Parts: sequence; structure tokens; C-alpha cells
Amino acid sequence: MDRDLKTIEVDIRGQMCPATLLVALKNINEYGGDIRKGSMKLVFKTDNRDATVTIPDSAANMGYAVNVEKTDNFYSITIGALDARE
Amino acid sequence: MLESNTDNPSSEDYRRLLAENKELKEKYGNTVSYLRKKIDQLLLVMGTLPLKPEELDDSTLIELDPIGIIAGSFDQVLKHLHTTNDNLQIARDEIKAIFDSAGIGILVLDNRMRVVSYNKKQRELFKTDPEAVSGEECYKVMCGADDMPSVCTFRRVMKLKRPVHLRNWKFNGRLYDVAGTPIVDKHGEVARVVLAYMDITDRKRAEEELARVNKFEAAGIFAGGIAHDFNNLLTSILGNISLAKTLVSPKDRIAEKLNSAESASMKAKELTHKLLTVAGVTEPQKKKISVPNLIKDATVLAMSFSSAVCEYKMQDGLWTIDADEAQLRQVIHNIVVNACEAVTGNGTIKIRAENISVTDGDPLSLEAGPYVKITIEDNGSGISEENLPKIFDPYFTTKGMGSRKGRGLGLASAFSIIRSHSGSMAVSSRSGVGTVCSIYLPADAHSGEATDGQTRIAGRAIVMDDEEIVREVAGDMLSLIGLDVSFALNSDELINAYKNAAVSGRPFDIVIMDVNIPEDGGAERAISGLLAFDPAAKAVVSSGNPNDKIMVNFERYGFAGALTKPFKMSEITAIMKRLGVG
Ligand SMILES: Nc1ncnc2c1ncn2[C@@H]1O[C@H](COP(=O)(O)OP(=O)(O)OP(=O)(O)O)[C@@H](O)[C@H]1O
Ligand SMILES: [Mg+2]
Repeated sequence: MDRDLKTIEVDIRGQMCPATLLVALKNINEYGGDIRKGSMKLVFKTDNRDATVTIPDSAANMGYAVNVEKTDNFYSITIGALDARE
Repeated sequence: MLESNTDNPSSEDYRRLLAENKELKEKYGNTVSYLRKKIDQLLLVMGTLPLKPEELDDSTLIELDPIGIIAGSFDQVLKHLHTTNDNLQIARDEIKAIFDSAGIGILVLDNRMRVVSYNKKQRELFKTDPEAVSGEECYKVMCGADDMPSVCTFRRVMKLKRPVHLRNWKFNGRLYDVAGTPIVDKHGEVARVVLAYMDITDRKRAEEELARVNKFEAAGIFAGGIAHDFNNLLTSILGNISLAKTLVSPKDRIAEKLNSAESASMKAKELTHKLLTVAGVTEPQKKKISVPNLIKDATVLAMSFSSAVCEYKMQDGLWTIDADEAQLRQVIHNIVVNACEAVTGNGTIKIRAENISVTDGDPLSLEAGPYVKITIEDNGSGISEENLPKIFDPYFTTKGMGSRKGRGLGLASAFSIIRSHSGSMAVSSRSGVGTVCSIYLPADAHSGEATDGQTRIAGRAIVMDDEEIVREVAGDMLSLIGLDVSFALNSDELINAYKNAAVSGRPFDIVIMDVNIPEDGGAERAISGLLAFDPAAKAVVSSGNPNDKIMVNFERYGFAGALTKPFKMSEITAIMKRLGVG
């Protein structure tokens, strides 16, 4: 069901984004409704190692499914709806 | 910037501004660090790491509206918690519903064997006091004991720290399968033990019953196979003995020997007959039977050599059953004889008969429906737990071989007869206390037979029989129940009397005729003559041989019923009632 899902990518690598977590939270807040409905997902690209802990932790507390993947030189953190319908 | 403008005219103002500026900077710094601290605190509350100062300079921090963002996130966390709580509540209700409606007893204990909770079924199985509070040791509340039972699932679960399955656990006379499952906390210690009790008593009984039936089938095939041949051989032996007897003088010692040989052969023939019954070879000849009379008749005979006393308790309005009278009599006989043999001194045999309704899922593997239950109870020696499963086995006996007693076929043939009547039989016993034997026979629930006492019937009857003694006895019996009786010696007499009575306005209500009067054309001629005159005539055929073709198929010959000789009061009354005489 992932395939044709609307995906928004947020690149928070490097200096452009000073507070990775806050930027991520802001995006999650903004798109939360749609993500929960299962109609879209958010992908954060980050090179900040801490963010691979802080973003998934917060997202999990908010009730999202989180997946972290490491690519060559950055991490992709995907936020989607939990499998079980809430 | 300010520092470069040193040539400002008012150095007073300048210093003041400088001081104010410093103060403002300090305040701003404090505010920002306060903000950072609080934001970190909020992030911690949300369950994540604090921000690092190098990640965010002060002005970006404010611009980003961190508190607004975190507030938004909090909102989501709370919403999520709410849904989680709602779901948890549903899950809890679900578990509680399963817990309460489960057909097995469920008991939850803590790791010190104290009751945490249990379901309704558990309370029923263990007859637990509904007031019994949780927190008490399981064996006190559930088993009602002062100590742990010797076989204890809880203890095994605690020791092995893994699920345990205990089969055939006995408690309060019932049998259970017990499953114990530990619930382990995050330190790997057993925190709770969940015990599930499944009552398998009834299933076990049904299985045993089935095994017994199977055993009978095997025994039946075997016995049936040889019994027939055996019977033929015995007939030939008996024939030759009686021929041999004609060749010697009755006073001769050879005749004496022949007589014993003859009586032994007769016994062997009886035995073959029993074997054929066990084998289910003889089909029951069913007819409506009133149970109380049959029980009493059979019991009196069976007890003729016993000093035990018998007490009867027959339910009023007992239903009738469809059964082979001779076979059923045999069943009662065998059981009562056993009871007599088991009691000594002041033995008492209690016989009860009652109506019961069997519902589905009955442990005796009976179909649902109305049954007459006959219970024969004695206060004799009882049967040991070891022997109890074997008593229905053909040839199982504890009675010495020496005497004529104890072939071990009594219960086997009783069981087989009851099975062929679609009934069931069970024996329970305690060594030294006594034995209870219960028989269940399918009944006719609409019969609601009247009380056993003789009801008086008004009407006229005519009996045709060539034997004087039969006429006399039948006459006595019929008058006893209130009928006005006339007699005929043959068909012509009968038909004449019947016509005259009808013409004179006092017709016969019932005709009873012997199946075969020599040189008279028999019952066939009599009935056709009778029906030709009065197609509504009610005639009952009688014979000493219940297997006579007219007796068996009496309806086909135009008879309204059949009576076996010698007549029995109960049967006469029953047949009159059925035919609406009186
Ligand atoms: N009422 C009873 N009290 C005590 N034991 C009994 C009773 N009924 C049956 N038994 C036991 O069951 C065994 C089998 O009974 P069953 O009637 O089949 O055979 P039997 O009485 O030994 O021999 P048979 O009936 O062929 O003369 C008996 O030998 C006896 O041990
Ligand atoms: Mg016996």
C-alpha cells in the first residue's frame, strides 16, 4: 500500500536546518491529519545522528509508525500511519 | 556599534545608555536561556533528547516558534493517548467478556499462590463461595483444603517456569484437564500463573461408553458366529439323548446318567441363548410396556431365593416404553440377582422408576428426549474401583467357578439388551457401601400412564379358547377388572354369540381368541367371520408363543391387539385401555 502513497520529502541536512527536531515536529504537526488517515507519508532526510533517535521517539509518542533507513551519507526517517487503525 | 561612537557629546547619556544596554542584554540572555531550558524540559517530557545549543542560535530559536511547535506536538501525543486508552478499554472489555463466558474455569494466581481473579465457570466448577475474597491462598478458597494438594499445577509452573499441562486431575469426584501458564515480568520472574480447568468427566464417560460398545461389537461378532453352530450341535446331542433314553429302562443307572447329560445340555442351550443376546443376534420384539408391573414381576422371581427386602418407588404417571418384554425382564432379573448376591444379612434393594428428559450433550451418549429411568440400588459389598470398568465385559466375574453361579454374562447381556433398545446403562458403586445400577430407556412421553392400581372397566367380553383352564383364568381376570365375560369353544360358537349379543342390544366390546384351535380353521377363520359381520369388531389374538406369525403381525390379520399367554393383569388392562374398552 506504500507504493502509490503521496510522499512529502523534507531535507534537513547540513546547516540549513539548525534545529532538526523542531523542524521535523513542525512538519509532523502540519501533515499529521493526512498521515494518520493513511493518505500520505513524510520522509525526513538528515545527517544528524541524534535526529535518528529524537524524531522517531517523538513520532512514536504521537502514534505514528516510524522507519529509519541509512543511505550512503544520510538517514531517511519515514513517518506513516500505524498499521492498526486507530 | 555603540562603542565606536566615543565622541558622543554627552558622556553621561552615553554611560547610562551603555549600562541600560548591558542590562537589557543580560535580561535577553536570561530570557533566552530560560526559554532553552523550558524547551528542553518540554522535549524531555515528550520523551526525546534536549536541543544542543550549537544546533540553534538564539534568534533562530525565537523565530522558529519552538513552544508553538511543541504545543502542537503535545496535542498529538494527547490525542494518541486518548485513542490508545479507548482501545485499551475495548480490549479489556473484550478480555473480560471472554473470561466470563469461557466454558472452562480460569483462575489467576500471584506468585505466592494467592487468588488474583477467577471467572464464573471457575466458581461453578469449584463451588466457590461467591463472597470469597481474592488475596487468599488458592487451596483454601478453591479446594477448601488446609494444605496444597499433592498434585498441584501451580507448583509445577513455578518450578519449571513454563506452561504445564496436567491431565486427568481428580477433584471432588470429577476429572479435569488443567493448563497452567506463567506470566513473566520484565525481570524474567513469574508474576502470575493462569490456570485453566476443563471438566472432562462427561467426555471421559462418553469415551468409555464408546469403548465398551466397540468391545461388544467385537465380542458379538465372535459369539454370534459360534453360538448358532453350537446350538445346532446341542440340538443333535439332546435329540440323541432322548432317543437313547427310550432304549433303556427308566430305572436303569444309564437313564440316570442320560438325565444329567440332558439337563447339562439344556443349560448349555440356555447359555447359547444368552450368547446370542450378547451378540445382539436376537432382535427385540417390541411392544408397549408398563414398567412398574414388569419390574415387580421380574423382581419377585429373581428374589425368590433371597432373604433381602425390596422397596419400590414408582413415579405416578410413569411413561410407557416400547420394549421386548422378555428381554427387559431378563435385564431386571440379572441386575436384581446380582444385588441379591451382593447383600448379606439385612440387605435392602431399592428399585425406583421415574420419568426423565434427556437434553443434548448428555454424558450417557443418549439422544435427547423422554426416558424412563430405572434405578436398582443395593447396600451390598459394592465393586472395587479396579473392577468397576470391567463388570460389563462378557465373562468377567468375581464369583467362584465352583458353584453354578458366576458366568460373568449377567451384566454383559443386560447391557447388550439395553443398547438394542437405544437405551443406556450405568453402574456406580463404592466398595463396602453398595451399588447403584441405572437404566435409561426411551419412553413415550404422551403415555402418562395411569396409576398402577387396577382401574375398573365396564363392558362385555367374550373369550374363545378350547382349553378350560385358560377360559377360567381369563374369565377371572376380566371379571376382576369389571368386565362381563362370556365364552366360546370354537369359531362358530363365537360368531353366533357375537351376532346374538349385537341383536339383543348388548354387544360385546371385546373379543379375545386363541390363535389356533385344532380342527377349527384357527383364528384366521374366526376373525374373517367376525369382521364380515362387524367390520368394527375389536378382537385380540392370544397365544403362548409370542413369535407366532399372527401374533407378530396381528394387525395384518385384522386384530386390534395380541396378548401372550399366560395372561397378565397389567397387560389385559393396558390393552383394554388402548382399545378404549369400558
Ligand atoms: N450389585 C452388585 N454388587 C456387587 N458386585 C456386583 C454387583 N453387580 C455386579 N457385580 C460384579 O460384577 C461382576 C459381573 O456381574 P455379572 O452379572 O455380569 O456376572 P456374574 O454375576 O458374576 O455372573 P452371572 O450373572 O453370569 O451369573 C460380578 O461378578 C460382581 O463382581
Ligand atoms: Mg450376575
